[in-house]
This record gives sequence, structure tokens and C-alpha cells, in this order.
Amino acid sequence: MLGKSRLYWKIVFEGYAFISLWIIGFVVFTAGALFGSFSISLTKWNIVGTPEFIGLGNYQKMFEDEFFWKSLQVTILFLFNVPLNLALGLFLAMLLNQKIRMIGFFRTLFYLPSVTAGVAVSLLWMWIFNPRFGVINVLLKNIGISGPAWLGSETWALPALIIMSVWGVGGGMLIYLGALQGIPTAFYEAATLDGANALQKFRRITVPMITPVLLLNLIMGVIGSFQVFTQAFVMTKGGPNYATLFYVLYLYQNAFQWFNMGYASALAWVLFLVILAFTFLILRTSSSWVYYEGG
Amino acid sequence: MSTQMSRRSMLKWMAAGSATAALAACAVPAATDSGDSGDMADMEDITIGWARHGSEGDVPTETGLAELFKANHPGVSVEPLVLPWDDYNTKIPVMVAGGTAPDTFGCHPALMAETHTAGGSTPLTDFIDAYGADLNYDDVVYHGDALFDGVVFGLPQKSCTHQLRYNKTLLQEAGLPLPGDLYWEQGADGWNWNTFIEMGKELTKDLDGDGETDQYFYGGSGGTNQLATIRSAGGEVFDEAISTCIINSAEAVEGIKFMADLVLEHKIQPPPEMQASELGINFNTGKIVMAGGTTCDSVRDLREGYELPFEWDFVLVPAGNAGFRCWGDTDQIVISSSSEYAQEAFDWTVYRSSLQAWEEGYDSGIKLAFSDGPTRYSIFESKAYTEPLGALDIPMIREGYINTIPNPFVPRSPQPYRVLFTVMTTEVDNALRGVKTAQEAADDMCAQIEEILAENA
Repeated sequence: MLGKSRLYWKIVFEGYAFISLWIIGFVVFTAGALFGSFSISLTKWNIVGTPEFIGLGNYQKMFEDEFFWKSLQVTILFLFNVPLNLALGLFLAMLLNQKIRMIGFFRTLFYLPSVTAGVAVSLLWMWIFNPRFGVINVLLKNIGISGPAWLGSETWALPALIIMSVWGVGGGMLIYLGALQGIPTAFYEAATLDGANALQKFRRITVPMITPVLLLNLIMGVIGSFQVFTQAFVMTKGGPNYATLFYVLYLYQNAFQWFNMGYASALAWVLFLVILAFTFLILRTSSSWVYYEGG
Repeated sequence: MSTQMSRRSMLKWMAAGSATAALAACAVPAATDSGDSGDMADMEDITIGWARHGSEGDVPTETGLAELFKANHPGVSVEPLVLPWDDYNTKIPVMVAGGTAPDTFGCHPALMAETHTAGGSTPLTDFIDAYGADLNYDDVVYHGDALFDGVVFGLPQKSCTHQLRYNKTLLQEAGLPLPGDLYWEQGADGWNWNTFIEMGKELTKDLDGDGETDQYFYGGSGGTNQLATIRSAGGEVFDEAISTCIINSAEAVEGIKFMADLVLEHKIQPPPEMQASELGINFNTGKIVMAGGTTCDSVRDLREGYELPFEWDFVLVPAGNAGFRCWGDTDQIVISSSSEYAQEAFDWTVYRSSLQAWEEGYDSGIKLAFSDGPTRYSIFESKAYTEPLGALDIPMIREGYINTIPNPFVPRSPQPYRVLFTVMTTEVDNALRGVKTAQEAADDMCAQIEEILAENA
């Protein structure tokens, strides 16, 4: 045991010295900004003038701000993309977990869209959703259906963005694929010997074994959904008639278009608390459905 | 003897190196050219900071103008900083708040008002008076944007109006009169909402016979021309005291209804959800006959290699019941209240805003006509403007400045850009999509604007 010997302190010092750059970076650029934003959230400040301390005024204002509620509603509705992406990601991962020719090529093909730049993807989907020449409406027209105005429709703009979210399914798919490949084949062989069919193997072996990864993808999906910005900023600007006014877009507008820095900081802190609450809820329920091998 | 360095030695050297570097960083600047003697101080260059929003293409312009200024003012250098719009609108306010703003910087109308409220700009009236007749302040355009309680706080860096561009070729092929001719020959009797709609019906077409319109007369109004249209109908956003929203008045609603009817009733403008521009239905492809355009930016289509495959020109937004109204605003150069060189900064401001800068710049290859609109009425007659823009009706561009009523055109309200470019554009869009009547849209606008007023009361 080292105790508090000179060597012990030397090791401690060197350890901290090695991570000191990260600590300084974290304190200055992350923790500092975090506490700074909380201080700003207690003020009314348009950047140019002097901040005016208003206590919890910005937080109270949210309760009366219809656009705060609207943006929260839009963002929560957007959470529907999470189960869609979870299911589709798993489905694709199972398809790509087969022993077929050119499997590497197909895996790359399905993963590539998820690493494409957000703005480029948004511009591409604006074309896909174009009511007159977009590929979706052209396909619908071919089967006798008159497609909606998609991004120009209050009803369809948000579902359109949910549909578009599957474009990034490759990221989750890759994690599922890793988990699927980590399941010992002996489990499946034993189940086959016991006469289990494919569906039974999926329900009784595959799903339980990948629940830790499901949990990860669920949490990441929920957090990502609360932070949606680029699509709305590029494609709809929050419209039509605020139908795609996502929370972060509203926060951005307040901060960098209208210079309500105090209110924007308060919005950021409430978003942090909402995400924290959702994550906590998911983690609390996870003990009843997540299976960890060995404990 | 081993040449390998021990870990302890290495740490010692690293510590010594770090200390040296830290001391070097803390060192005071070398005093070689900042001696105490008066003679040395006289020889010292003063450097004025100058910031504007723009693109990389504006850097050589500003650098070139700074060199020309220095030729006239030895001993005073100007250090330009050009930032993209978004960066500019976050960095400059932070610098103003922190007292570290550049000596001179450009302010669009909203930033101008915010900077003034924060005490970040220097009053210039005394400087202008001291300068005397040589400055010829009456020649400067858009005094209103720079005035606060009768005191001048800026001189323009650039001034623009938002007008309509029209495709002369398409109009002439259709045998229709040119809007510019109607304006000059008959004024509001010839160029008004009715003639606009009539011409629109002639030139909105299904060119390939597939049952879908693929040539529209009008591309639609952005927030700038929406306000111009509402004002040309006799409407207004605020009362004079900027304490009440009046955009739901009968006159303003008529303006909104006119814009909605272009889409819903007359069908001479593509509906907003069509994303027409993405489909190649826009002014530059010749599939839109008239479209909004600024007299600063649209003229870039006249540059060599960027010309459009048809003739085009400007005309004011057609007259409503209240006559012609034209969006116009300036980027004013203000002098930071924290500047230590106010007089030198004012000299630069005067130069940057002058006809002299336009002409000297033009002679040295800087074409301000393609980036900055005229800052003075005399520039409309200068070769620096007439030679690059000779293909256009320059007197019409000047008319836009004269018909910028009121002046300043952007209301001095809390959050003017939120009011104009979020609240107004969203509700006008609702009217254009037919989901709200013009009156409903206007009432909803007022409800939101009243909230903004209450928040900032």
C-alpha cells in the first residue's frame, strides 16, 4: 500500500498534471460557461446593454409564453421518431448480420447516410418532399394518391421531419450490429436443439441480450430528439405557422436573432432539466427490462 | 556517458520552457516605436479599427479603401474586419457591451438602435458642424436612420432600397408595356396594383401544356416588400408612439389581402408550399417575370461573367391607395464611444461614406456599385455608379430612396426584426396559404406584437 508517501503524492501530482489541460479546458470552456449561462438566465440582457437582474422572471415568463409551450409540444411529438428508429435500426442490423456476399458493402451503404452533413441532407429532403416534383408525391401520384404539401402543410410538416429522421438510422444500426455479433452462437444452437422457431429465438434470446444497447440507443435517441435544430432551421424555419418550431430552434431565435440572452439561457436550463428528467425516468424503468449478463 | 535524458531532467526542462513562455507572454510590448519623445509620437501610426458585415469578397474592397484613405491621411491606418452576417450580429454587440468594439463599425437599423440605447456610439453632430460645408451633409441619403432625438450618430457605409426586378425580354415579347415606362409616364395611375394584376394574368403560363403553371408573374414578397406593400395601402405596424400595434387596421389588412389574392385568387404568384425556387422557377431562370430584389445585391448580376440571359430592370413596388412606398435602409458607420481616436475615426467615417471614396476606389478598380448602394445623392451621377450599372434605369433606383417613407423605414420598436421577419412574415404566409383570412392574420400579428411591446415596456 502506498499510503500518503512521497511517491503517492508524486503519482497523484503527475496524474493530475497529465490531465490538467483537459481539466482547465473543462472548467473554463464547459463548467464556466454552464454557470455563466445560469447567471445570465436570471437577467434580462440583450447583449449590447447591461444585464438587469430579474431573479426567476425568465422562468416565470415561460409559463405564459405560448411559443415555449408550442416548441415543447412540437419537440415531444417529434419523439415519435425514437421508436421508429429503434425498430428500423434493429431490423436493418438483423438483415446486415447475415452471412451473404458483399455484406461489408451493404453495411457501409446503410451507414453512410448517418454521417452525411445535416445541411446537405436537409436540402436533399427538401427536394424529396417537394409537393410537385418530389419523389414521394410522384410515387403517390402513380398510385392515384394526391400527396400533401409536406413541408408547406401545417399537418404534414412535422411527420415529414419524423420520416426524414430515419435517414440517420445507420448510427443506431451499427451499434445493434455490434451487440448482435456479441451474442454467443451457443444460445441459438441450444434453442434450435430445443425446437425454438425464429420468432421465439428473437424474442427469448436476441432481444434480452441486446437490451443494454436498446437502452443506450433509446437514451441517445431521446436526447438527440430534444436537440433537433438543423432540419427545422434549414427546411422550414419553424413554419408553417410554427408547426415545426422545435425547442432548440426557438432557443436559437431568442438568443441569436432577437438577442433575448437571459430568456434563451433560461430556456437552455429548462431543456437540460427536461432531458435530465426523461433520462432519469428511462433509467429508473430500465431495471425491469434491461438484462445485464452476469448481474 | 549516456546521452539519454532522465525523466526528472526532462520535467525540469519542460518547467523551465513553460516558465519562459509564460514570461514572454506577459512581457510588455517592445518600446522601440512608442518612445516618450514628442517627435517619436508624431511619427507613430494611429490604427483605427473598422468592422462591417460582408463576405470574403469585401475584404479587398475595405483594404483598398483603407489604403486610399491613408494616402490622404498619412499617419492614420485603418484595419478592416469583415465578418459574416451571423457572426457580426453576435460579436459586435458583445464587443460593444464589453467596451472593446472597433473604433468604427457598421450598424444596420436594429443594431444602430441597440448600440445607441447602450451608449455604444459617439454623437457626431458636433464633428459634422466642425467639418463644415465640405462635408455637404444635405447630400447624404437616409438621414433618418442615423438620427436619435435630433442628434446624428452615423454616416452611411451603404444604402439600399428593395424594389422589384422585371424581365424586360419577357414583357416585350408579350407586347406589354414595361413597368418602368408606366411609372415614369403615368406614375401611380399607370403602375399600381390593378396594372400589376392585369400584367400578371397575361404572363402566368403553363408553358409545356401539362396542366401545371411553370411561369409565374411574381415571385412573392419577402418581409421587406411586405412592409412596403402594407404601407403603400396606407397601413402601418405601430402607432407613432410605438406603443400600440395597428397592423390590423382596415388599410393594413387591405395590403395583406392584396398579397394573399396574388396567390389564392389571381394565381400569379406560386403558393409558398410549392418551393418554386428549388424547382428552378425563379427570376434568374426566366420563369418568374417580377421578383423582389435589393438595389445593392441584385446589381451583381451585371458583373462580367454573371450576366443573366435576358434584359432586366428595377421598378418600385406598385402603388396602393397611399401611393408608392419603398423599403430602404442603411448600414451606418458609427464611432465607438470607447474609441480613443474619435477625430481620426470621424475622418475615416467621412471618407468611407464619401463620393471621393467611390470615385478614387473606382479609379483603382474597386467597384462599390456592386457591393454598396449610394451613400450620397451625388453618387447616382458619378461614373463610379453609372458606368457599372449603365444598363439599368438609374433614376428609378434613386426614386426608391426618395420613396422610402417614413425615414427611417425600419420602426424603432423593440425587436424590430422579430416583428418584421418572424411575426409579420409568418402571418402573411398564413394568409397566402389560405389558412387565415387577412384580418385574422393581422389580428394574430397584433396579439404577438402587443406581447413583445409589453415585454419590453
